[in-house]
Amino acid sequence: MLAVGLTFAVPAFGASAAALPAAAAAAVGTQLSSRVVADRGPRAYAIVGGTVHLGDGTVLERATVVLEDGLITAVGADAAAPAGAWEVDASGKRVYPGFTTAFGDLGLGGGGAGGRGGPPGGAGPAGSSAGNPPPARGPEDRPATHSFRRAADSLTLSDERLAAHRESGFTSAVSFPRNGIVSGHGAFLNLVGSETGDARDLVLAEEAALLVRLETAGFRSFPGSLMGVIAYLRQLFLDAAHYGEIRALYEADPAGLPRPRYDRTLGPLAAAVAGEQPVLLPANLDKEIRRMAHLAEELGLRAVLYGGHEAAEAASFLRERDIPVLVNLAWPEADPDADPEATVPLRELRLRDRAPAGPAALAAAGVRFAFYREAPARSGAGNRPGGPGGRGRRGGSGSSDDLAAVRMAVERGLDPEAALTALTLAPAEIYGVDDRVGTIAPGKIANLVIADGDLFRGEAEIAAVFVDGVIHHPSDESEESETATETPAESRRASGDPS
Amino acid sequence: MKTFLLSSSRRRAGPVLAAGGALLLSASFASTQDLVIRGATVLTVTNGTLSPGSIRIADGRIAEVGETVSIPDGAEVIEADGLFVMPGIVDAHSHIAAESINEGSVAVSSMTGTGDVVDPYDVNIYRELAGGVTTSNILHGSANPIGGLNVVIKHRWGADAEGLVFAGAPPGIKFALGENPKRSRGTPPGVERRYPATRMGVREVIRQAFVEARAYRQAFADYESAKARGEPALPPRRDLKLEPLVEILEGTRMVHAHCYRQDEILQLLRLAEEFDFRIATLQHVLEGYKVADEIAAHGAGASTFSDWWAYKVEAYDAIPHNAALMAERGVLVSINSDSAEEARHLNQEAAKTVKWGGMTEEQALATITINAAIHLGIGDRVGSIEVGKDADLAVFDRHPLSTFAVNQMTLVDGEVLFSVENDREMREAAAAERSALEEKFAAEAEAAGGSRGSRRGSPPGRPGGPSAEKGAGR
Repeated sequence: MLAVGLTFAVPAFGASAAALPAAAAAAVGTQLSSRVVADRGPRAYAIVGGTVHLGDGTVLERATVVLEDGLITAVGADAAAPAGAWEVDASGKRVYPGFTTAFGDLGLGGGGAGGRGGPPGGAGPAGSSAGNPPPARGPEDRPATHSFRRAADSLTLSDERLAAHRESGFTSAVSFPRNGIVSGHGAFLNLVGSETGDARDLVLAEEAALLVRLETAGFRSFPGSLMGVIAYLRQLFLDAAHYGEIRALYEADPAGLPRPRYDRTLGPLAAAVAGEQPVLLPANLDKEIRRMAHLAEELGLRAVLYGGHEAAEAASFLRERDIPVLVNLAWPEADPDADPEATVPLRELRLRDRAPAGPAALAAAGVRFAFYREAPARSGAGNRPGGPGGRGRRGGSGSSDDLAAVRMAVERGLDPEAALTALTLAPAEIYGVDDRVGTIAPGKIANLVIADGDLFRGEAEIAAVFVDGVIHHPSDESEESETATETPAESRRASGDPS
Repeated sequence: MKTFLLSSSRRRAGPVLAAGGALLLSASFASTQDLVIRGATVLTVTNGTLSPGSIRIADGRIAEVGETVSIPDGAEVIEADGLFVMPGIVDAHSHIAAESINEGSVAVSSMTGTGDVVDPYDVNIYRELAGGVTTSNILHGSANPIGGLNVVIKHRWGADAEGLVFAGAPPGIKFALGENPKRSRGTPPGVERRYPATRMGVREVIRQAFVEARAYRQAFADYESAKARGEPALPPRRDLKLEPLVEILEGTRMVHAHCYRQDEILQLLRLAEEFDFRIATLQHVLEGYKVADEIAAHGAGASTFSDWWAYKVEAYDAIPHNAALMAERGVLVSINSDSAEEARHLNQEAAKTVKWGGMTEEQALATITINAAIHLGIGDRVGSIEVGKDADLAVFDRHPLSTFAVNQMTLVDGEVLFSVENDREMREAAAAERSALEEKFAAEAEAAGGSRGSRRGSPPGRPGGPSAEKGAGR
């Protein structure tokens, strides 16, 4: 099973590596703390002898990383392992902080084979949702405004993409409700396995950011145009600020005042309006980046832009404003369905050529950026990112392509350490959870990736992934993914759990 | 002193720009360096024609105009013997360079604006520059009685959206009357019929909006006075739909009203007078000749087409004499394009006023320059060749009202942003870039091999792994 040859030394036991972790963990259960449920495996590990990339630019050779009860407790050449810790021989291997895919809908179901699961809340895009709500006739109707939705409340462990992402080294993801002009609040997730049996264990931060898309409904319903949806956002955030103001005045002294009307969409925008919560805005092209940055500036929002294929053009603009970018790793490609004799605009060819070199330019300019991957509905320079999860992202293939796409950025000049930062510390900082994840440091959550070589150059394979101190092996995950196409592996493994 | 030769097409031999012409787009024309156009026929529009005439440009503005001008050390000189220099053309009605035009879901869309969606990638900015256009009024569409806010741009091809905006141009808004806002050509399947459906309804929608705007203004006044009296009060909600209408009532926002028929024109002028504001321009206004006195009395400008008619019922009574007849009755008239194609030859459209209406050459040129600039509230900045104005100029090889005239060079803020010679070089550079990229992609596709090969950027799946198989099936 452990095809990559990661070897374990188990204190007092000569258990074969092949039996790990689940079966062996059960066998040594008597040695473990009662806090650890049997199928979560050992409570402590010492990962010994590897080249450890801390994620802050520091690389330690032949160092030890100690994990205990889901946290990193010690890092260094002479870090001491507690009694009973399982030793992982990582000599000749690389140890990285776990990767984060910074934008998507992992854990919300769907996306895999036959992934037609409806979005949580059931609300479709403005104007096209099932059941055809009456058309909105202005901002007051709050079209497609789902600010009260939270991805954290709609998670499922049966989303097979969770395992596929772990297999590729992703220990965290930031997931957002789909659809809408304001889709709702995204959650920063730790990609725990089915061993926990409870989807709530996925959540590391439940209101990590607010997602804005620029969905429009044509002449049918307001807003029907790009300028309409921008105007709507301006009014919406203005209304949210006003709502907070008059509610506070009314609560302080209601005597003689008209009662403010309750609005379910405005209260949940308070943190965004105050500039405390990041707001994700779609911006793939230079012109979109500048447009969204100006809008955020005008509204006092803490913008995080997603898309970013042309961000290199706006690198200094972004640096001046300290606006981070989530770069879509689905590099633009030729449309396979296009007429091969049709002339592709030069601007599109240029973008196709330059997009993978963008991260290097962003790093050089000092722009903070993280990665995610979402295939656009169609290729082309003018596509807005952020469409609902489509057929482009299918379970396993998507996540393994992520690292290949990062390697392409490295080939085009991105420093491998900067690539690592974009997968680890940068997303943690952007979403305000860098005090618990993002680097290998004592006290932080034990999210790690062990690879048999440099993951950012060449063809290294992932040997093991730790999420919350629980070990996962790619070979197990593959098997799980394969079987999942017929029987949901998660529910099989979590047998007895009704969820 | 460096000299560029710009030969007239009447002396067709040789390139339009001699060697060194490529420098015209380079930094050597930074605004600190003076530029002189020497020996041309200068059509100032507001102060007659100088032939020969010269123009000196400094810091992006016209510094000197005369038969001869001073030539400071280091100035660049364009020899323009035989060429005609006119003010850059101002198009008072355009829908280019915007990523959306109509917010058609509502009857009043004054919360929207084209300024939010300026598209600096739109090649029409450049194409119109090639036709001598330097300023355009980017209007919201005509789907609504009260439409969205406008943005006035300069054709600074290559600038970002912010850089295109004509800073200091007074704000405006689109209104629309008649068949378009009442959706007389029906609505698409699945779209509910929207009010209004008649000209009566259009007027009612506009009137109602201003009643609301007045009440809105009053609500803020009431709040301030309640607060001053120390009474409990909650601040009113800001309404981005009504704020522009309050600005109209206060005379700080210009109304550009799309209209055709004389009855709807009078309807709107009277409605504006009821609310004590002025319509800045009537746009299209094809029956304006029937009510020219009323338009003049109201003080509205008229921005019309040269000779489009009968493309819908409300355009049946259009006549090509409209511009001249309105001008005769004292209306300030401009000719607009409303079309990315027509905007490239607005000089010819202006010439039709001479043919049909007997306007003078200078009057005709004014319809696409100073009059349009005044319509947009920027007549003190552009629209004529005068000292102190922005150096926005078009250089034609013949008199621009000639059917045979071809624009050779366009300057915006003193920078040459189009010339025939530079255009040729840009085309060659673009073709070379394209073939280099296509070769590169083809080589990469070959290296990747197989059916995935044509899909640039498809990273290889893990060899032999399950993901490789899945990936191939995408």
